[in-house]
Amino acid sequence: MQKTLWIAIALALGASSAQAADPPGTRRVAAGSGAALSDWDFRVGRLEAQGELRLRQSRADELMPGRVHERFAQLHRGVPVWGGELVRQRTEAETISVFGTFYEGIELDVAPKLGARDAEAAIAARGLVLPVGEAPVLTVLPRESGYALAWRAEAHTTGDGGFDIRMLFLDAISGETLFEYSNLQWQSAVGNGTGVLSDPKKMSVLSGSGGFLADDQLRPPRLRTFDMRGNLGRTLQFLNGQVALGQSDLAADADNVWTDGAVVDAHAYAGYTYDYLYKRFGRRGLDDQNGRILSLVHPVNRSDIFGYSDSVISTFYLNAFYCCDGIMVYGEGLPSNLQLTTGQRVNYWSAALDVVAHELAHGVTDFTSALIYFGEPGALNESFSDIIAAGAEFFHQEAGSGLLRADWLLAEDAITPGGIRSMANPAAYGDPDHYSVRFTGSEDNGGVHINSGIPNHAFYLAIEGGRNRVSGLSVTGVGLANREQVEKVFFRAFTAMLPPSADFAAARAATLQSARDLYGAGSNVERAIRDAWTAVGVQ
Amino acid sequence: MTRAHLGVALAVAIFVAAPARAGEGRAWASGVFNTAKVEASESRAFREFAEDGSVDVDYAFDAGPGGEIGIEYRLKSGIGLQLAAAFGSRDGSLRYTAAFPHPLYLNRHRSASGEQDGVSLTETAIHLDLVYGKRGPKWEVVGFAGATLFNVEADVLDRPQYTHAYPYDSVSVLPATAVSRSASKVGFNAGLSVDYRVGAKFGIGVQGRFSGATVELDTPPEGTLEIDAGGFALGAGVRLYF
Repeated sequence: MQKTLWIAIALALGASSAQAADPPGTRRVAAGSGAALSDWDFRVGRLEAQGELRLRQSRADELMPGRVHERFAQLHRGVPVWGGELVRQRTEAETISVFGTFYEGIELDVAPKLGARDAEAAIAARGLVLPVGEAPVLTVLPRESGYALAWRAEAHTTGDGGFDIRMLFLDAISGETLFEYSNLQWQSAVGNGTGVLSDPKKMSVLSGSGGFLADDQLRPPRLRTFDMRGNLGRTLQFLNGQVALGQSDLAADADNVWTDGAVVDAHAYAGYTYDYLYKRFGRRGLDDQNGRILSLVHPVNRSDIFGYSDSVISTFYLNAFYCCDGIMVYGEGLPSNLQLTTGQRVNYWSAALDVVAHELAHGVTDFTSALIYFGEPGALNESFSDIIAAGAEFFHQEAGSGLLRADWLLAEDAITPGGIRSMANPAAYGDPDHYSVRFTGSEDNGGVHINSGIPNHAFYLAIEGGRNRVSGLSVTGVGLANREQVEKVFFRAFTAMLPPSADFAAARAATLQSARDLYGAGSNVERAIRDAWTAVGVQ
Repeated sequence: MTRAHLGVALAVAIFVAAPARAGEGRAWASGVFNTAKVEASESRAFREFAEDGSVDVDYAFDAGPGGEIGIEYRLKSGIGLQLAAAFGSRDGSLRYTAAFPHPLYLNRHRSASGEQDGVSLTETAIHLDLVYGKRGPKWEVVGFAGATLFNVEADVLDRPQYTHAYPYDSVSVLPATAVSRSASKVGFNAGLSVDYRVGAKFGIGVQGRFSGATVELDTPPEGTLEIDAGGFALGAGVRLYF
């Protein structure tokens, strides 16, 4: 799925990339003196006479009396060339400068196969509308590979998906969209949000005349939250690389007081996790290069649950997952009248900081050790996500029990009461806490979630200390106040030292090496981690 | 000289001197020293990053020089009206502490502080007083009291500016800047002057005047600074009699 998605992204961005590069024959003009100025001054006159330039504006310089600035739009056989323009500064006596972009050598038939009406129909088919009195304009569009004849139109979005102004370039031959961008001017804003558990948070968003979008402009990566509005088909199409999500898919709010808890928590907690990774480990996002972090919420509607298969329910209602390439999907949870056989209720999965951090940590693993998601390496993969999840919780929340408190439970703010796993006592959730009782079946990808209890418990013991239930061995931990040391040891070992096929023994060796490197041989940290691994039966 | 000393002097003068006659008057010009230091504080609240922030500012202005001119006219024996215009200027400094909201987290304000010297406070005052005076061959003692229109112009802290960068846990404040604000308020004044005639038309004199009003200045963006204008001012200068 990941590879497919890469291709889809490349295709989706292809138009932008092509537009960004100059086609052959592009001349960037910056003539302020000498022969270049004389040459371009002469050429402006000649090109205007030939009909390849048209004076579209002449303005007196308000700061320098006597100066005039003339803007000449480029034409190709009478059709405007997008972006082609020369600006000449002159006095009555002489030309002072010529700046601009001119595309030379355009070879393009300007007879469109599709008319303006066809372009309007194509725009309407996309659910966009043209402002009253506006019509598509035939345009020569410079592209990296050459030039295309296109209908250019500035169309507005409609409906409740927020407001946007799309600058569209439709191929005047085939009708396909050659290039488009938002022409709406946006800026950073901070709003107030209320999470699923009624807790207040700040929302770092994008502000524009049409409202506010869940697009964090303050953190370094592109951190965006999409509201799929229960459209599972579109969600699947996106995950399968068949469509790209755009600005109209972003979660939106009219007054910047965000009340959709699932959106608020997904967006805010993705930022919290980025902050934790940066502040604790100096890591810049999932790929350490501030790559994108995309959160998808409301992939389905709760009220639609009875119309879906078990597979859809388990994936999009009862799960959250890291898809690939920085994309997280958060399940919708269950309607309030339904609960699990355990008696637990399932809320929006993004309600839990540790769930969000867990999924993002899968992204970190993806970009680092790429632990194979099966068997022991798969359990280490899961365990690393749990470790980051707990770390993020303790970093951002007060330690304690109950909702919105940092503890050693996983997903306890979304799956109530109790969450789905415990690092302090894995056995309470049916997970092994000692290597001798590990799961050896093939379910759960060879027990990736189940057996994560073993390294999870080792991590817990190294910090909090305690006695392993099976071995009876006691560990003196470094203490919760010093958890940063163990977090750094595990993070370093898991991201920098483990190979994709690492087993538990390799994890033990790598974490001990990491502890010695960071805190010295024989340090309390090394001792605590060694004792913890030994206590859980990993040698 | 304290206010008690001035009171004793006034009482003595009243008992030993004769009232000035109706239709007489005097004009004067004095150098003045405003003896009181002016200290003021303000707390501003502002909204930033969807959260309230605050700035607390302390101002301290030193005692400073000024001047006064005035004219007095006796309506009847010993009683008259006087109109005086006074100005004064003080140098001072300001210090502030601020709590800037964090852009990403609630209740995680970034603290900062700053200061600026070289700020000034300028007062102008128009005094309209009822006077009562007693005059001897050389000496004249005048007591007066009335209303004062104050105008205060002060340098106040402009909105503190800062820079920050991800993760935004601290700010780097830019040098504090001040902006001038002015406001007017009616207050009161009372005092005493003692003249010594060196000729039929000329004399010299000293004067003590206490005046006061609380003037409210608007501070950016939406704060208010209350300044206690006036205070005790001692002056000395020349007198012209008519």
